[in-house]
Amino acid sequence: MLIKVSVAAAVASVAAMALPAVAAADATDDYPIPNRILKTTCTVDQYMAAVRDVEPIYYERYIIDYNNRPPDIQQGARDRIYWFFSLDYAGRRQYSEDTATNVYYEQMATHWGNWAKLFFNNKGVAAHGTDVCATYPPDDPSVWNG
Amino acid sequence: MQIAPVATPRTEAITAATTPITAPFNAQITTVEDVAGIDQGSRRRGSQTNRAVHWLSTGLSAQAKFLPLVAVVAAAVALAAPVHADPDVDFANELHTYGIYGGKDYNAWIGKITCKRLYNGLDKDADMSAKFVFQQLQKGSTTAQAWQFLGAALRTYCPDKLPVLEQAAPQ
Repeated sequence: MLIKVSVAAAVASVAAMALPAVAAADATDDYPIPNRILKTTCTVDQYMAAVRDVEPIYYERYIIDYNNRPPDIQQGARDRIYWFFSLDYAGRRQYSEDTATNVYYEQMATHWGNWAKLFFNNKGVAAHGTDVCATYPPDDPSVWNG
Repeated sequence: MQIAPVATPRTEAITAATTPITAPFNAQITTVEDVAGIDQGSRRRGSQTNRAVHWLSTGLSAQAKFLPLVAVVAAAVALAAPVHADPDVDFANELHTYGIYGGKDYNAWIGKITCKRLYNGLDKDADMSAKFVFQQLQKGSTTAQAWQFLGAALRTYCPDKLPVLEQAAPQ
């Protein structure tokens, strides 16, 4: 009897170890893209202008990285983030799912791994930026000048 | 891991060269070219070790080979700045007198960004700069501390922008 129970427990524990790995790559409403970014109604320019004011060092690091990329990669990153912000919540959530489950989904990332760092990588920055982004002008290309 | 097989025979090769009597086994590796050959045999083709060994095996004299290295070391020693010449340290020390603490590098970068924002017109006057600085200070900081930070930042990192403080004073 004791042996049977032990074997059953062992089988159960093996199954418990094996199963979660299957589902580990799924996106959540906060990962890999922060919830605030999925839901914000701000434009790219508004969000960047806000982060420039409230998280200046994070912004500065991103812009330095951006400026170290060739012009075609810079343009590609800009086009891609404007495209992402043109999506509604459902579209952004689907994109989040696609990038979480397929590492090759986002082609931009193969050219510049941190191409969207200012937007996707830090929940605190996303929260602070989206808190105030609506107070900035919707169109302000100077946000890319650093 | 990969250096070991290179370094050991090389040491032995030098020993072998100076005491040829003990050489029969080690005599297979007697030149730097041989050592380079070992490295080429590994997976890391074109490694720094490889290139360095080739450089050492060129026909230059020992003096010519090491002269650049000597020059670089001499320059590094000569140019090493005194410890207290770091403006970030002076800036941090001044901030401490205002009761502003936090990371030295963080505060220094905020100071430099404050200057940059005045140069590129993002902040048009000292009031805007002080507002920007205030947002970056720890919670509970006072506006007076923001202005003290601003004054220290301008003096330390962009003294040519100090007039913006004077322009703000009469207001």
